[in-house]
Amino acid sequence: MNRILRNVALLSVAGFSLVGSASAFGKATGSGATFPAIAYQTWCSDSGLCSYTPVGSGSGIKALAAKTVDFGGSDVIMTDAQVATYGGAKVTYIPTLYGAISVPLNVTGVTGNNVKLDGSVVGDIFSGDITAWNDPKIAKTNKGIAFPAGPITVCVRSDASGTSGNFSNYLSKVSASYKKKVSSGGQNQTPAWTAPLVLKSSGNAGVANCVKSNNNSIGYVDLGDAMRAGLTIGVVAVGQNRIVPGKGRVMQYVLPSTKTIQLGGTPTAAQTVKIKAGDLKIDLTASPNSGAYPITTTTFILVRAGMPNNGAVSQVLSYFLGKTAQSKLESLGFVALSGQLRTGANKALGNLS
Amino acid sequence: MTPPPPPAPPDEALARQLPSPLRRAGSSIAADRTYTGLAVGAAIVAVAFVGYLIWNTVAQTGEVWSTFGVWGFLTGEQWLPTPVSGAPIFGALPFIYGTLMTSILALMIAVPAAIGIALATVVLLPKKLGGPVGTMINLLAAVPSVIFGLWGLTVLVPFLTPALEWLSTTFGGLNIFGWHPFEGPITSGSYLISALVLAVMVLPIITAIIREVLLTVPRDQQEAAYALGATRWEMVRSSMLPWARSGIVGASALGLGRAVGETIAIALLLGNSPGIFTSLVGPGSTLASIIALQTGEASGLQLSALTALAVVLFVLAFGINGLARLVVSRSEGGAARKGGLVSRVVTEIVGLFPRRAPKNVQVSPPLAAGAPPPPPPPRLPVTISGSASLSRSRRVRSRLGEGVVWFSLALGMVPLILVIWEMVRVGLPAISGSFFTELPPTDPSSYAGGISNALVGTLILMGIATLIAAPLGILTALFIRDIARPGTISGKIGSAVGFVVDILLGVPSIVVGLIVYLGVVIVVGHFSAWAGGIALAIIMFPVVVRASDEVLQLVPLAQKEAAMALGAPKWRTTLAIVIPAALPGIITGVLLGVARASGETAPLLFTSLGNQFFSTDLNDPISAIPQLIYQRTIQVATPASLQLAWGAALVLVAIIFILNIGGALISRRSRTLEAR
Repeated sequence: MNRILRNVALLSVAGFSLVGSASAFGKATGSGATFPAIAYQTWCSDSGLCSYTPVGSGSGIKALAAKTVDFGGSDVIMTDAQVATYGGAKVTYIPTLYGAISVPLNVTGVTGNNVKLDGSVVGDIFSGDITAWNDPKIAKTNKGIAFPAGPITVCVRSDASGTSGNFSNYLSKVSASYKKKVSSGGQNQTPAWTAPLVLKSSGNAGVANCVKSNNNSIGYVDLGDAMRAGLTIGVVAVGQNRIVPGKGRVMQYVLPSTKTIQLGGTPTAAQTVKIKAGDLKIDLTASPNSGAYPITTTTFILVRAGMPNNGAVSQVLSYFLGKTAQSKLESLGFVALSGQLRTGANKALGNLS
Repeated sequence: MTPPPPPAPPDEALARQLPSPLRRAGSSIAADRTYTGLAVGAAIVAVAFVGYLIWNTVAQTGEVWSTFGVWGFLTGEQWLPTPVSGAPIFGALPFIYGTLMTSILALMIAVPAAIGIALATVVLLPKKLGGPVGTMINLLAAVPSVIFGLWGLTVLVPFLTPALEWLSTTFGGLNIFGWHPFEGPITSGSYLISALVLAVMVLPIITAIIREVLLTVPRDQQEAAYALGATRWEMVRSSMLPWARSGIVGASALGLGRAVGETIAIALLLGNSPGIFTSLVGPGSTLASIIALQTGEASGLQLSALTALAVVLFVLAFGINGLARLVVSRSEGGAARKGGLVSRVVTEIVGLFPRRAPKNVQVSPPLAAGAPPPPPPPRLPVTISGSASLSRSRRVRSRLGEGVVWFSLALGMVPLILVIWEMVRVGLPAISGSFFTELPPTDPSSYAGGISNALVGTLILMGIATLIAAPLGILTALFIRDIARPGTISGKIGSAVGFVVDILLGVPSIVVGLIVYLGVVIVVGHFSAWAGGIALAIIMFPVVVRASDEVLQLVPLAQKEAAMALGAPKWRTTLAIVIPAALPGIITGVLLGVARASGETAPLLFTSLGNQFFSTDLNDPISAIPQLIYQRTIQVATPASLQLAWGAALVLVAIIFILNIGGALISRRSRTLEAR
């Protein structure tokens, strides 16, 4: 018996002897959205103030409701059902960065970022109204590119995702067919894709990989992950109908870039009023600003009132919103917060403590 | 599989009647009670805990049944958590279809290959080579699912895409009652490639069982075939395959049971797009993969629906395993009826011969078809006439048959070699001293960093799992084999416990993950190393029980009786006789259990969750190597990330191989010791 006990013990102790030395990192713990994960994880490593586990916006909201983390990360505003799980506790939304959802495609014959698609056409592809690349609606805005006749493979997320939520929110604004068939509006994290040929992958990189490995495909991937996955060819310039001073109503085709995302992140007059009133939950998609990338998004850190570790969370946030952290964003595929929203975020942070 | 019940051991009551010097005083009886109590307690605790988890899981499904009805859910074709209008809709049919379709396709590839490999290693290769080759194929079984997924995604899909393209342009028009199995366009996620990888994964278990069955073919029978002038191939066809037929069916069914639960590789390779009777070069989805992909973020009705899918998967796996067991045990019964089989085999040999008796074949008696089978020929030294004298068609057929066998052996070895090659080619450059001491880089395009958190996480998870599963497993085995007595209540409890253990052996690991998520993570409120360790313990437990049980059976009854006759109480007999004799086997069982659990990804997805940092806190989420590989493959698929993933795969496979080989060595050493 001694021998067996010793053997069993040896096997197990190999694991347990390591227990007890406390984790070297992190005072505040957070979990949630995967979209900003690389920024949060970089900032947490740099500052040593926090740890962040990317588990998806929905799980982040769930974790903060269960008080198992000190802060949550979410790309989307909570639904009423989710709000109910907080038992009346006040939740503050603090935006941390601007990002963009790029629409990459992989089509024979497309060798640069020269494809222009109206937002409504993108919506029609994802709803299944347009199923082949040689559709007249695609050809109309792309004279000079010979699109093949092949059917379109649509790459989407398999998990509930804030990226899907923001993308779906945008498409339901610009495509009647999408709004009717896929999602009636709002940040639907699991849109009921109705395109005939859909491939679902986990995470932004999964979708990026899907686009890369399927001919005649299209997908939606946050810009940073698209960059890291090497999806720099075939990024769609998304068309948005706008009133431009001096030109009247025009269709502008815009590629995602630091500049166009910054323009997309500039709040409208109505949003500015909202921000000044302390409500930072603004929707940046389909911006009317001239030159703005239409699928610009932001992401939030959720702070729950009355949590014991909120002091540490404030410290984390002031680092996140500070110059050192924000200046790192561009290399990660995001854009620093600016103007009204940044002022608003700092004000909200001040109100926390 | 159940051995004949051993004759009842001497009753303790009898022992108590012995003259007092021979039995120890009351303390021994107390110790006996303690021992019995411990073993019974362990069995009950284990079964009760699993029972609680299962009850808790089934309870979660109530909402689905009441919303859609059982039949409505099972035949529902839609899975829409947020439909464009109206309430969410959940239906299981596309996932059931996808699970069965991938698994059956995989079997169609794996079974012929397995038969070929088994034949090659048993018949064609010299004994010295056959054994090691068989072992190599067994090693394939130890390669974790996530590594096959990684390999499939990064190597096989790009490589086979042209083949699928050819298939779809050539046979795209094929129409089977409205189903176009090869209709394009082809996609990176497809049934065919998933099935191929799945086939590689179930190949080892099917091959191993068929090999075992073939090794039991009596020499007489083989010699009889040769004596009748059969070529080697004719011998195989006439005397080996018929003998192994039901074994092959059983092995296939066991493979099927394994295939339906396969999760991670399929989640990476099938495209996760549910559909029914869609193209085989296009995407689909399975029960296991949808559970893996959606459970973490689901709540309410969707979580309930996913749980119901897990129940469906469990029932499916349980049914298939039950069927397999039935067939295998039948075949063993059949093998016992030797006489019948031999005569059948002889008849079939006769059927093989061409109608006109071939010239110059010395031994074949001229037989008309339908003539009564000859009596088994006497064993005489037989010289088989040179192949020149065989008829051409027989010669060609024999060559062809052997060729097919060689070909399938090569085919079976190829994936193993390719996976290992890729692991070494891409993974080896990642490995250095810092690979074991540094954290994975936050920046996925960085080649720096290592897997220290995942390595330690895996060790901790294995530690927790072993601490739970090893003592409970061994004590449960002792209860079943050493304490429970047939014909009494304890016997009935013992066989009930054995039944539960057998069920556990066949539960797909993703289902284990889900039930621990529902029963531990949700109840406690957070992901933790504990939850992951418990999930892995549930996977280890039945392996430890079965392995221990098998060696406990082998402890000679005479030894036990001798001890008891000397007045040793039961606990002392167990401690001094049974355990030392069985120890090597038990340790082997534990090591194999650890090896099996350490490669698992699916049960960790929503239990231990993963952690980017170094953590040793058992109440926090913790990283593990398989999960790190999964995340790097699926979520940050950059070349640098893939190198890290392959490097981690190399470390993981090394750990698993060492555990397996260690287990094999211990059991072999003990066997040679016994032989002395």
